[in-house]
Amino acid sequence: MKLKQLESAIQEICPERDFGNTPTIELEQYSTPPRLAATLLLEIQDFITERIAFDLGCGCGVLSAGISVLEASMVYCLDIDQKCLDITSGNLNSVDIKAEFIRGNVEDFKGKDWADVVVTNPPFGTRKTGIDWVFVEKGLVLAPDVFSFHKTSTRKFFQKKVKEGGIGGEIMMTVPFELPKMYKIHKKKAVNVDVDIWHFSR
Amino acid sequence: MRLLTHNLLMCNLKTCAGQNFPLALQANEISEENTEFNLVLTQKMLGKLDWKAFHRVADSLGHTLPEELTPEDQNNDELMQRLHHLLFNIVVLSGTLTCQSCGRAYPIDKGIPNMLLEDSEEA
Repeated sequence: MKLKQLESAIQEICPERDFGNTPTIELEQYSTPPRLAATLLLEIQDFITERIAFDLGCGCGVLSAGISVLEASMVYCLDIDQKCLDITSGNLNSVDIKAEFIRGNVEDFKGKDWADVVVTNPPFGTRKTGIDWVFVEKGLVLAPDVFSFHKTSTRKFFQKKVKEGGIGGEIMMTVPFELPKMYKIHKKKAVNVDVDIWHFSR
Repeated sequence: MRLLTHNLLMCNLKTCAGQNFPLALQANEISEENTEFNLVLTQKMLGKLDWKAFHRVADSLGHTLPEELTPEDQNNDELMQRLHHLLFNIVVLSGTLTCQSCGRAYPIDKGIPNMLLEDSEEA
């Protein structure tokens, strides 16, 4: 599958990516741009196709949509926000995938070795320090491989965590991530931040 | 919530660590899907499954399964089809998951289990 094809398929499955127009700033709700989601997912297709995937903090379900298109056998979508689960379950209704939805807080959620892969675009940790690492840690409980998005400015922090934890951690790519003006406190129309896409493994 | 997922969920309260699984299922509304039999997926999930917990929850819904699953069972096509159906096609739309240690109840609504804790419950 070509990048453009996957990007359009995601856009078609997920027409609504603005959190019902009422995103919650404390949760740092930003949709993953479909092109970025498609770029990552094509790169890691072998981890997705016919595998069981977990999307931690699924938001509007952009990553889960791509995971479905690449024919995972099953996708788990977990989010703290009921609105996100409603949007994502509505979106994934149109595709042929076994999808499961769980409302939960990644910080408290008790999991076990269950899935093949976790794909997550966690909060960047701007509002709540360290929450980005919590997503990775929880991800590694649920699956042996975790692919996640983190601000490049946090690279040193993650490198330290990888070393301390004795886990695998590689930066696959660094990409510009457009943060649209979604919240009143934002002054600029949109800003681009550099984001590292990490592959963590236990 | 597919029956498979029941096997993943446990009480999220820190005080229940070690005795937080399995949650007792009270199913008020169940639907049956008709997904295609997938032997590989079924075998894979059987490898991850706590069989005792699955056996018990299936039993509570009126599906009697063998006490133990032998390696030969994995090649029993009829049984595998039945297990696939129970794991992936039985969907609990509404009900409750209850911790057998502390009694904390987690509601299932519109097929989605709500594992969120209250602020006062978080450690």
